[in-house]
Amino acid sequence: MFWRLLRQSFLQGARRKILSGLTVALAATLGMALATLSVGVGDKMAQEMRAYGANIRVVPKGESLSLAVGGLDLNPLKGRETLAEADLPLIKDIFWHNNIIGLSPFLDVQVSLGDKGKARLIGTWFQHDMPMPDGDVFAAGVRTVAAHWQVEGAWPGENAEDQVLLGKSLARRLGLGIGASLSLDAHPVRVVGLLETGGDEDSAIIGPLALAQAIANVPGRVRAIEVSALTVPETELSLRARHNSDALTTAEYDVWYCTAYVSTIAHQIEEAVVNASARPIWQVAAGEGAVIGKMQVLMAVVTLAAFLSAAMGVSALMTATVVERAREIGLMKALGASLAEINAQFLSEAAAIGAAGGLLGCGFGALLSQGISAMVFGQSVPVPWIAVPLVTVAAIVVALAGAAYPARTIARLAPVEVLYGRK
Amino acid sequence: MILYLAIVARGVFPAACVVALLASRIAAPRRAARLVVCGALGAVLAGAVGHEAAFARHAVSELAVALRLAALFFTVLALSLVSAPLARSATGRVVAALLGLAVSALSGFQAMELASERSFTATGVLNTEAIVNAAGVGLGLVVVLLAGVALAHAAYRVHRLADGVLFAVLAVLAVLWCGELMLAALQRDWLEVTTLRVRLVAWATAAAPGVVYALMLAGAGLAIAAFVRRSASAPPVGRVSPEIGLRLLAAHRRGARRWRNLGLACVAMLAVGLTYQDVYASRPPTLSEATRVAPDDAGNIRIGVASVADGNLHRFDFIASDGHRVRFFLINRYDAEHVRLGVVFDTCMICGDKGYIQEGNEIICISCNVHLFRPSIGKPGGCNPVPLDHEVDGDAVVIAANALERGAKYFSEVVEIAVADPVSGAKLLNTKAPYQYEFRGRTFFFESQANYDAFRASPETYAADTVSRLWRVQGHVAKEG
Repeated sequence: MFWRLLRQSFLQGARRKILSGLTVALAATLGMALATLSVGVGDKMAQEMRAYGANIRVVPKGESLSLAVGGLDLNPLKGRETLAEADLPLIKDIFWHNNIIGLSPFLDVQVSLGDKGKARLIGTWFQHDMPMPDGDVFAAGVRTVAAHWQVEGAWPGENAEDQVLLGKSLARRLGLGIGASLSLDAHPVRVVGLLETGGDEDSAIIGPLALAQAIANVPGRVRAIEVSALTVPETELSLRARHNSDALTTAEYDVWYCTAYVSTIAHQIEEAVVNASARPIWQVAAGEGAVIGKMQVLMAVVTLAAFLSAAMGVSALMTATVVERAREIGLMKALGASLAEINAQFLSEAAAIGAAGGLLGCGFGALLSQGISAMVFGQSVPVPWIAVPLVTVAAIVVALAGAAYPARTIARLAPVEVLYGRK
Repeated sequence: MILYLAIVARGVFPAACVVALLASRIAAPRRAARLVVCGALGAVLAGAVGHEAAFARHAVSELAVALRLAALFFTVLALSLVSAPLARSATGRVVAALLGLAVSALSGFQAMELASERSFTATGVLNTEAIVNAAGVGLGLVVVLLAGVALAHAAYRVHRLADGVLFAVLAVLAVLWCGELMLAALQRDWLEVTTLRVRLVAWATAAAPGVVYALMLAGAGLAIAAFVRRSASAPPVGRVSPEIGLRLLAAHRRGARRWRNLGLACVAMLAVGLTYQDVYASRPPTLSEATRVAPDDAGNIRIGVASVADGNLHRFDFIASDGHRVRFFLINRYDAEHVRLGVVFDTCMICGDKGYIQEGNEIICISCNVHLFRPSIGKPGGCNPVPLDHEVDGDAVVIAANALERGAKYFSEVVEIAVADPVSGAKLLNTKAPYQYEFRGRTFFFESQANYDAFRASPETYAADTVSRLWRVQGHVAKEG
């Protein structure tokens, strides 16, 4: 009987049902589009945080001060302070030294290319056997730290001071290829490979550290060190420690210090190297994550407003239905139907509308998010499966909330009034 | 997801039971029942928020003590409700309401305590993990709520039985709270530490995880009992024809069956989630099988290099002279062309003797989940395994049995073996020996008090050639000294 009544209701009031379904679908479309964009980035961020490896960037303390005003970096110490190259082995001497699998120093300097203008030279180690305090040798160098660098041609040999890599976009600008010769501030070098990283290295020259030190006239100094470490995924404890390690209790501090979190390793590097500031590099978190993180509240508010108006739409249409079917309700009451049974009738109608509208909205929302993404980011985003149940459940809840008020008016209908037609 | 469902079940279900039984006890009409549900939900939330607030101020344990004291206080007051007509009076209702609120707040607090060790989401941006975990919490709360409502309905029908259950539930919970309070008092030096008190605390702590299962069983029992009782007694029918009476009876039965099914389904769902989490999902990883090795006549253990050079973790074990099971493993640190073996004890200086496992190509410390940098295995430091002295002799790795003996103290597992009394030379079992004495880290076993005393007086006479064993803190010294 329940199902027959439900089916009848959908057959007879189809127009009104479709209308309320569309109201919900509209809100669900918006919700789905925003959820798709947000969850896509959120998942990438979560994956980064949960990875068993991370890179840490070590810079001089003064460098890490943030003095950005209106987007301009006003830090007077920017680019002035340096770290000692001799301190590099200290990084392999911390408590978690076994988990450090690679490290490489960096020093960048502006060089003149003679008649070709100026360019940025990044000095680093390509493959360097670093002597350790305990007599061992550690194979340091940029090839382990920057595993994503793609080199066309060959990597420069370690002790060849005149071999460099040329960033792809700089090479295109200069019209040079592998084997070309360059003069960097009167130091002759030969291009042995072309580098593509997707970062700003693409428009720079990557050369040996000693060459950069000679040009910048800072022997034995480096500007930054990148460290690659095997880590344990971040947990609640490490997030709190990252925020403020002094706020931990002694027991928590011990657990934190003795676990290979990226924040622990960074902390120990700061302890080991004088005047250094070590920070994990979270690429997604610092890029798209920061953008979405700021927009998230706004997106949530907009979605909420859309769902709220959908709920009001459903409510209005449902009230009309209740009034229209008052005689039917009166008859049901007169025949002994309990209030719960009649409510169940109307609420399941609303739930069905919510589910249908929600699913429809998911489809439209997925399309819409592809459109937005193509316009804004110039690429397509994968549709996260989890957004479908999320949006559908939200739509059902909204439809039920909208139906809750009209359902209450059912209780007030007296059979004798509605059946008789007047008081 | 199931983790969070289980946390909600463990944390909030006891409170749902108490609130449901109390609500039926004070015979609340429908509107009051709604108030009770809302109040309890609010209190659960308040408890959860309170936990977070206390967390920020390092006052978690203080709030925990306060909440348990409040719950205990109102429990004592509420016990008078069970038998007295007080239950129907205004005072009775206030006490019952306060008890319900205290227990609900405590449960929200406890659920947060259980969840605080886990990471809900890795980032503040909406992501799949956060949605799934939130769904687990939501589902858990809804199911617990429905179970509570169904329980309250069942308790209306069989109020005598429900009184008994309420009394038992409160008594059990009160014992747990007392145990936790006593632990807090012992930790704060408010109470002197005695064997009995520690034992009581230990009992209460050990029993706590099982209590929620007992409550679920009780809830399911109550739901079934209510249905049985309901079927037996006819609903109150007025002056109606027998036909209508029969239909009314059928309708009432159907209703009762639905409540029973709802209650049973909710309890079953919570129980399944909790059991899955407790029995299966929280199971620690197990160590791979170890190959038992014994020394040859020269007191050495020889392992062919070729047999362990495939890049996998090869675990071995050795039984020390006093029965300690010493585990060690060999692993090729580089590739097949460059065989350089790491030879280490299967224990870490920081994490103890939980051991290491291989997952795919990664070597992981079970205790702290650190992934080891393979070329560093065999070097001391960090969470690396404690290095084991060895020599490579041609195509075999040679490990002296004495080197393994020295590391016996790193391991806690003891197997039953036959040992000799160092004084009389009599054979006895190490686990059954009446007397034992530790000398240079090695345990000696004696058949009689006289032998024990003789040994204690001058151990060097009987065991001069005993190698001193290393303490865990000396693990990294092993290499050099």
